[in-house]
Amino acid sequence: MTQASDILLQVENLTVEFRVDDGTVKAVDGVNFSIRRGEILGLVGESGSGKSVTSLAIMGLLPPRVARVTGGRILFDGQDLLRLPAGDLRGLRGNRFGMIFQEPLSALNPVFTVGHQIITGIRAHERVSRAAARSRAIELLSIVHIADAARSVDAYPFQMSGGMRQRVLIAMALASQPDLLIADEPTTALDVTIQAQILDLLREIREKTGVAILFITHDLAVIAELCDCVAVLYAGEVQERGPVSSVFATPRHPYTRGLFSCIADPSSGKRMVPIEGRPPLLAEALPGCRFAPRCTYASPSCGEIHPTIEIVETDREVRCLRWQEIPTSF
Amino acid sequence: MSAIVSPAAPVPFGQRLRRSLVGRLLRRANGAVGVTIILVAITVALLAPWLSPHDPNAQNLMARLKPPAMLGGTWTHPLGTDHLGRDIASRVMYGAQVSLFVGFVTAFAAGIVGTTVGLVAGFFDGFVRTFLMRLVDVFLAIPYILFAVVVVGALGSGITNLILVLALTRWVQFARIVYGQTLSVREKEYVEAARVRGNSRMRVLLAHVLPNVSTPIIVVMTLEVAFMIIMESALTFLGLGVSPDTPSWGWMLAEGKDYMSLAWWLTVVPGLTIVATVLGINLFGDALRDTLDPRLKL
Amino acid sequence: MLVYVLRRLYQAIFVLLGVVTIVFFLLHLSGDPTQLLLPLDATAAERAAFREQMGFNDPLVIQYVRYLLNVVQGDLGYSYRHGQPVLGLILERVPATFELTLASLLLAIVVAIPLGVIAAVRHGSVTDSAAMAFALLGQATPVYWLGLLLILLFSVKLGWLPSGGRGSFETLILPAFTLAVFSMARIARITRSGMLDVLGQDYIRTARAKGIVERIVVFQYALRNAAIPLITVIGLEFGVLLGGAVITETVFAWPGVGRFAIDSIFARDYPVVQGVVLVLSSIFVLINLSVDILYTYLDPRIREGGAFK
Repeated sequence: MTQASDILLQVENLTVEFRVDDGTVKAVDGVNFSIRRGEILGLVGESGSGKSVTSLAIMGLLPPRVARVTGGRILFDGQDLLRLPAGDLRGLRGNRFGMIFQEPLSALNPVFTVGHQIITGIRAHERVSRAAARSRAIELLSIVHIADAARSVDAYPFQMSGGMRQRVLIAMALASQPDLLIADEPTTALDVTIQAQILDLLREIREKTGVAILFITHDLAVIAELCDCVAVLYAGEVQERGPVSSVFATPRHPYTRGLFSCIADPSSGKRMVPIEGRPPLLAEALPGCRFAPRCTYASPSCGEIHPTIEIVETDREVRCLRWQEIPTSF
Repeated sequence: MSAIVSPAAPVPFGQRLRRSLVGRLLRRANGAVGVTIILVAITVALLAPWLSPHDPNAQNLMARLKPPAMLGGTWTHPLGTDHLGRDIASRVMYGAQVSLFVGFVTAFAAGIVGTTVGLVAGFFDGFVRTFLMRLVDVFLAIPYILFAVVVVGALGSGITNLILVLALTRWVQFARIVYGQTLSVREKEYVEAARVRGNSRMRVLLAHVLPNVSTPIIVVMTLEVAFMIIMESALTFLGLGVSPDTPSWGWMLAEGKDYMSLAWWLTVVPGLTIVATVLGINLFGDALRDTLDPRLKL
Repeated sequence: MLVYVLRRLYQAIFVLLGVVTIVFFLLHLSGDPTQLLLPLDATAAERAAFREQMGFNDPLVIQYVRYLLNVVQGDLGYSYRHGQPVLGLILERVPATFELTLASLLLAIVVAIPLGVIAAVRHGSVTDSAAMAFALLGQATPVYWLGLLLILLFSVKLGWLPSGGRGSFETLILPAFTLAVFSMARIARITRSGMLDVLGQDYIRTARAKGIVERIVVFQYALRNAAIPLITVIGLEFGVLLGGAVITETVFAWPGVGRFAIDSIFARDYPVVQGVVLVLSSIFVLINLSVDILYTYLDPRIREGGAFK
């Protein structure tokens, strides 16, 4: 039985609209999920599903002129981040929660040393001397397993490999011992071997510090490796949610099932089955279920009635009219 | 596969026009204003003989230094007269002919030369490139006015030499930009593909590289017309441009400056015309750049 | 980095060589240099004697080499009008031009950079549009006309400032401002677009994600990134200003090398004109070289180069 105080982040009915040439589109439409302290939640979906936008909305980093949160709440430790004054939100950002991004090279400032960039992050929230911040930075670099941290602290980003840079970003995000780390596809741009190292690192950090992680990816294998729970996003909506073991064993939503059949599995001898069609353009306002046009289980009512979230069992939800009729084995 | 994509409905003409290049250009404020000003300037220049109220060279010593109509003068001379009694409005209109002519011709000439140099320097490696780029550096190093002074000193003044000087000065602007663009286009796969297919280098250059660097050329050429107009008037003002018999904005300013305290409109009117024309062309050039490729850093 | 510096130096020398070559050939373009160097009423005999004396009858190549050697040793010719070597005359007037050009550049930077930064930060607002409108106007205004207008307003009508000459600080104000306006406009636009570019970069997003105050993000980070290419522009702008100074000096009767050149061309004192071109071009090349070297120093990617460890 989960206690309410266990829940660190609660996203309720989040809706984000983007301004386009002819009006607005909803990149994120009524998304709900929560993360407990120390939990790793995977947010999975195709490009355009709204996963990055969700993370930016939590951080308060949506581009101001084109995007707006038009509904919902984001409760961090009980506080609604959307109602906080900008100054207070900034105080929390990089402090109680941090974020790492997809492209480590472009995410680091090329003209400042790695150490300088970590130090500025520390000193943005705490009054410490430069010397103290510097030794903290060196410490952080060794926590993320960067060899020869004392020298690396004066290196420039271009002098480091992709994997090292991502570790630096993680170190920066952990500088003020946050409660939540948001990772937006941190391994997508890296080699598979480095990917594995970064995932190991994240797991290790969670063990040591109890930080919760919101891990955004399109790669199911990574979710299986790292995450405790998973939320599947499609067309700006959560379609299925639950513990990884449960969802992966018995996926209830046709889209989730489709994602699994897309994975190549040499051992089983089965062919990959792609999901036909493409995700809807955000501007297309579809009645009914958004996945219906591509769904092999779609019935006529799927195209007319918009399905709401239904509880499958404790901590498991699905958004599908026909979930009970869909077989759970492959 | 379910029918997600419906067959395209025919696009109404109005929408097609709006989305076309011209439409997109005119929708921008700077595009619309720029085009208007340019059209007015060209019309005035072309129709000057019919539009101007007087002969621009007709002197009338009885009516010297008359102010413009709005400030105490008469409507016979709507913008006043100069120190020789010549009608300013007419001189402004005829002056447009010189300025626009010089502007377009020199921009075009500089463009041809500069683009050729830029293409060749970007496309061919080794000595050719080094030599051409050093040449660009040399011409960049010489201040244009002094260059004009030297050339005019050696060859005399007049409109032909003026065009020569301006083209020789500004071709480097085209060369540099086209060079940069050529370098990046050269790496693209379609160029490699064309080479592999056995096309001669010249053919690849003209048929594949050139079309893909043409966007900045058009924008730069537009902006250069404006710059040339300013430069031409500056050189004429200094006495190094067109001959004094030709009514031109530069001469009007040069002659007017001696009478500034008595007749300030001699200075203000031609100057405002220059500012307006140049502004219009710059606005249009900006709109063109924004419409064609906003990523261009020009 | 030393390699880079040496290479640029080597290139610069070639450029200077090119300038000298062009100046040399322009003198001989018209066919008979005596037309340019001697008074119009010189007799044929005087011309022949002069030609012999100056070595104009020698093959062009020999003349070129001789000229080159002279230039390298500092002999830029002799002004008949003033009766002195050209180089000395020019060097006397260089300080005045520098004073004007530097004052203008400083004024332009002090106004334009903050303007550009603010316009970028408030992208799309009224402030942005106003700043850009001002920049557009600045670039459309001929320098000499602006000078004339300012003289008209502040000298003739109001009598607050002198209309020309060089002396007290007041004499510097109008010419410096006139010359500065075009640069101001250009630098403001380039600063703005550079800042907009930088502010859209991922690493700025990272800085914000760390919770750094926006003011620091803009002025201590974004500006630092945008400054590097901006420095190159400003360096080039100095060269443009040197050229523009010619007109300004003429309008304001400022005793610099630019005005000297204009006066000399009308007085048919051709060696002076040649000399001024050489001197100003050389200064421009030197400035460019310095700016390039400064650039390599400021950008750690070029300065340090290569991998760590």
